[in-house]
Amino acid sequence: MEKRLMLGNEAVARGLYEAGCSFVSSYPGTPSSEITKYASEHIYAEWAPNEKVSVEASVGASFAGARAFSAMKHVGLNVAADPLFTASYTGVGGGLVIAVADDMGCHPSQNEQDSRHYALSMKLPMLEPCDSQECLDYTRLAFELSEQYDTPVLLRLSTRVSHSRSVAAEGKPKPYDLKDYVKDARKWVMTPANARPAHVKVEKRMLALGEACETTPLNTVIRGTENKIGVISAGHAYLTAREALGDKASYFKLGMIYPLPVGPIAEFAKTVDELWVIEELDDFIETHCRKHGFKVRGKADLSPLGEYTAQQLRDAILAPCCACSCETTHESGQNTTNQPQPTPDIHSGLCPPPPRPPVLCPGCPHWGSFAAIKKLGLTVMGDIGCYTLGASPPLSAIDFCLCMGASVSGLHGVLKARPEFAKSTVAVIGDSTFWHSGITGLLNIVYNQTPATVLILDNATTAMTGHQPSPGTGETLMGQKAPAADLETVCRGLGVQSVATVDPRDQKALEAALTEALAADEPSVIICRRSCVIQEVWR
Amino acid sequence: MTNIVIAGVGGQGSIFTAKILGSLYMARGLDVKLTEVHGMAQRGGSVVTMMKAGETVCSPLVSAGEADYLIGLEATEAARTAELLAPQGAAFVSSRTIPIAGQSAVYAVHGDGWKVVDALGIATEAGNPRCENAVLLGAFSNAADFTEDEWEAAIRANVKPNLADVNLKAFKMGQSA
Ligand SMILES: Cc1ncc(C[n+]2csc(CCOP(=O)(O)OP(=O)(O)O)c2C)c(N)n1
Repeated sequence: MEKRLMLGNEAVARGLYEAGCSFVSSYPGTPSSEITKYASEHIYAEWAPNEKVSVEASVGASFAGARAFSAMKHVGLNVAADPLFTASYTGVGGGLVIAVADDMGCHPSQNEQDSRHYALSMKLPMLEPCDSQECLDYTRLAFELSEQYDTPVLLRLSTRVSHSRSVAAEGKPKPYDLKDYVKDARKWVMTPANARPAHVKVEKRMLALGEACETTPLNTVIRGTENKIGVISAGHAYLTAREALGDKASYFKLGMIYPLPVGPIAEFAKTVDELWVIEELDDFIETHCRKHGFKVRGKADLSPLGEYTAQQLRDAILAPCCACSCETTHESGQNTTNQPQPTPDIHSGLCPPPPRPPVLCPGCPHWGSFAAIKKLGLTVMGDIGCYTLGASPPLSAIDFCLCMGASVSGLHGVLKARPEFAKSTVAVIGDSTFWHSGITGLLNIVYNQTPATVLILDNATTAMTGHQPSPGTGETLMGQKAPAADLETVCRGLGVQSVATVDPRDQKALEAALTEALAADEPSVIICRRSCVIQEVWR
Repeated sequence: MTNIVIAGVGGQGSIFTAKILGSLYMARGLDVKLTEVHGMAQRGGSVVTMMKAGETVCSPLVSAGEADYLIGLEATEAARTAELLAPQGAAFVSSRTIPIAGQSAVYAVHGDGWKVVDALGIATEAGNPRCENAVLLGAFSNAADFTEDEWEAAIRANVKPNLADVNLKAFKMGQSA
């Protein structure tokens, strides 16, 4: 089969195609977005308005007998958690796989959450590939597991796995026939009466999966030349560990990270003097090991922050007092930062220049919106998108940013706590983010009555994550025309009486609209409409 | 093992450069891994792309002092990644600096012994200012052991057919820069 350099996300998409998956629904989010884009080259794929909708649609497709899939970034799983917790109880019709991409190092994200905890609390099996070949293979396998154990399966990715390219061989696509639809309320209608027995089924499934993971070929031992150090690891952390320790260590490489085995760890532990767990973010695997009485080293010596470098691992593991298995407690706290101090490089003699953070592009319409806001000296409840870059200098125009949608709902809370802030505070939200989760916040403003001023920065695209179309843009991921949802009509429909539309380049008009909205005693929406500049160039 | 670091500013085409290098080494039957930066940083932030090629590659991340080659699409960004370059490593760097928003100071940006090329000027002369990366690949090719045919195949495999000729021209001009 043809071997080529594949992006991790491209390999997941290839796996979907080869597994006969016929429904993909996702909401964009770095580093997961390319999966759905690549998938659309072979199979039906769509952008949903948010992750909850995408997962519910995928559960529906699975209920109807198709193999279905949904991809999201780590924080997207928070939004989709509600349907998924209970889809764990219903189980699946056609196989159902959910990919979640964590972001060690906050490359493009607002937090560094460890999504493995979801596998534990949702009671779902989770696989974690370390390179593109595994991305492809594990995706295919996840569908098999899903059907075999009647469970949704989580595929855990990370920025480094999703956005690295490595050699992978394509396999042969295997067509999948829709499963027959059988009416089965006990399985699919989660009333308390059905949920109680479903929970019993879930616990039994976990026992069966627990047994299966004891022997799964996804977990493998790689022997080094010495027996001193044994490393338990998974995903990109495993690659970094091998990079750092090479043949000096032996490895128990996990492909399935939930549930975790006991027997093979015991066997592996017997063959080495010192057992390390190398995992980025939380002590998920380490906790499992300790629970089963294994003596392991890990987070006491390694940081819970960011992505590991090979050097960091060498320093912690091979440093003299660490390799002698003495009982010294290592100073913790030392390891809590990954940031190297700026010192001149010894070879080139160059001092690292100051950081170059991302900025709004020249000509970006968001500049105009922030210029007017700054001129009026307003407090800004921000949201997530390119316009979050308005928080950095020289604009420094954003005072709050939490998660998608929180600008609108947060502003409502601000105004209930301090009504006088209504004259000087606005919410700023992008069009895609408004469709994602701004609508409900605006509904709350109308219902519970605060005279809030909400700016929707409509650049006619989801710019930050790579210019995906959204419900307002009039086209779908598959390139078909679609009815474009109309912001003005939707806002009026929610009960906002005062809806104005301005071009953010027209500073006079925007300032006038802002002044009027802030003075009004009712909710107002100002739609700042102008297309993204780079989208225009690309077309 | 060959480790290459490509440093630039979001939008300069570091990923494209890395993909050409990846094809080149892969065609020799080597294992190749690249790591890329997508998303927010592409809005004009620092972008570092890394490539490793060898018998078996573990992580694509290059640690401090381990890069054999540094390709700098922009001088300030090359300086930022200088610590990755091995003491005996070679750097092929554009003379161009793109100002950092809010910073007016000028930094020493070229290390001793670095090959500094007017990549923008040469690319413009070749017919497309966006071919800066092909110019630098040309400069790098003098230090790497690949034939003209191998380079041409790798470049053609990664650019749109209508841009192949201008990229090859920029590459050749980079070789003699
Ligand atoms: C729950 C969640 N899903 C996805 C993302 C990733 N994400 C960040 S901003 C953004 C959309 C931005 O689009 P828009 O609001 O239209 O603003 P623009 O970037 O176009 O200015 C997305 C999808 C996220 N941060 N949180």
